[in-house]
Amino acid sequence: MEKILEVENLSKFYKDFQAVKDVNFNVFKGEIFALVGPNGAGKSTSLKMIATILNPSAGKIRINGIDTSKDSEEARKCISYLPEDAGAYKNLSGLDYLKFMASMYNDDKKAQKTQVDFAANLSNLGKKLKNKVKTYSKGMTRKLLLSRAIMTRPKLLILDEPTSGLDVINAVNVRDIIKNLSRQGVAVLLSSHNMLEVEYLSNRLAIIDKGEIKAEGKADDLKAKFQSQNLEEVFMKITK
Amino acid sequence: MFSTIYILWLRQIKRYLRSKSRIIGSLGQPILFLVALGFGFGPMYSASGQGNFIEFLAPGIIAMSIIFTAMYSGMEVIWDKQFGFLKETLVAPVSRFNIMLGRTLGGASVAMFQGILVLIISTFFGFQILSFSGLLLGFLFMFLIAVFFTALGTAIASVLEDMQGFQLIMSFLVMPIFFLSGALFPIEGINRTLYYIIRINPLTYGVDGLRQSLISEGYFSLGLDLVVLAILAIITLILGAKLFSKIQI
Repeated sequence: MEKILEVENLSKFYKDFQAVKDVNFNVFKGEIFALVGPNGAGKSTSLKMIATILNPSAGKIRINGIDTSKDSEEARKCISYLPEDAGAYKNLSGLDYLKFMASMYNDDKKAQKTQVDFAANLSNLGKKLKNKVKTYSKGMTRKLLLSRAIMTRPKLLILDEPTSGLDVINAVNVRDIIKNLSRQGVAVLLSSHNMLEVEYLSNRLAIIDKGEIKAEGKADDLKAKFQSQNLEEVFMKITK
Repeated sequence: MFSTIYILWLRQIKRYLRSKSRIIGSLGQPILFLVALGFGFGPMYSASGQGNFIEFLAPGIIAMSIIFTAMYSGMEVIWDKQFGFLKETLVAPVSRFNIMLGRTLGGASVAMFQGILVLIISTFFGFQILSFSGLLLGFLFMFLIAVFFTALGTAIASVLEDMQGFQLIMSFLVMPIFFLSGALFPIEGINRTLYYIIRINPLTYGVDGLRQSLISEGYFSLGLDLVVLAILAIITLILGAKLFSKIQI
């Protein structure tokens, strides 16, 4: 299987505090890999380093074979990142926001239009795309942002808490979009503290706590290994 | 390369034009200064044989509106950091230098536009531009002041974490830069210590250059004003780009 993301001995220090400790994992083409753990476990910090907006203190990150410390701009061509706290410009319409972001990724007008049409369709916001973002509900904004992240057809999609704050219907909708993407060959790296969601979505996962990966593998394998009914039980046993 | 710069430039312009309250609100202070200082100190200034105070004051007030708008535009980076917009921009496959340049030129254009609005308002208070060529030269100085301060704002915002520091910057950097630039009073015969402070203030050369261009009066030579301001604008742009490229979120 083709490795899209390789993370080796990744560490991050904030002065004396080590937020991420020697983290290692790979993500393959078409795979959904989840980093799961409680708040403050080091999930978002790891994702930010992989998304090249935070420098690692130590370790290596290779995206599609490109070392991010050597050529981050080239590596960024392969990724799309949706931060947990992402926001769209409130005074822009959803459609204008998509157009603005498409123009950041592509010089070609035709390609931009294709991306925007794809995202507009995916967001399922219909005529509301012409309304200003400030009139959107949280679920609508999240779907817009997720569509934006997907429209550039990345090799690696990085999603930080993709369903955070969404109601059941919107969360299910977003999960379906993510599943479909992986079927199309996109590698997805996501973080979540919702273990049930991770169990449903991911092909493989890593349980992270206090910056360290405590266990890694398929959800079923981990449940069998730790003789647990679900991932929450696995997590409790590992971190006890 | 140019498309990224253009897109971000356009974004800043649209953002400004959509914020009507910001456009109108930022005219309040310059108008107040023109009315209160222009008409308040005008008779005293004329009585001392110095001429029309509005003529002297208007270039300083134009510069003031430019630096306030420019610093604010530069420091919008902090908002974008806090509300998550910057992460999405920084993760796009474009160089951070181009992102910074686009934002800075956008912010500088907005600040210059604000300066032109104040220039137009000044004419209603009796300010007279001497020539068309002087006006064009004045635009060049406005642009350089705007670029310098937008880049300075961006550089500061790149290292600041939140807007709490903004007030500190306004009180201890922007206000002293404005008040100690010769914008409100002539430099001639001033206290020696103050004179040296004014001489090392970048805005001094901007205000002086504007005066030279618009009313053919000034303290330094036009060439010196232009060279000092252009060099400082380039240095700040490079510094801003360096700090912006190192932003960690």
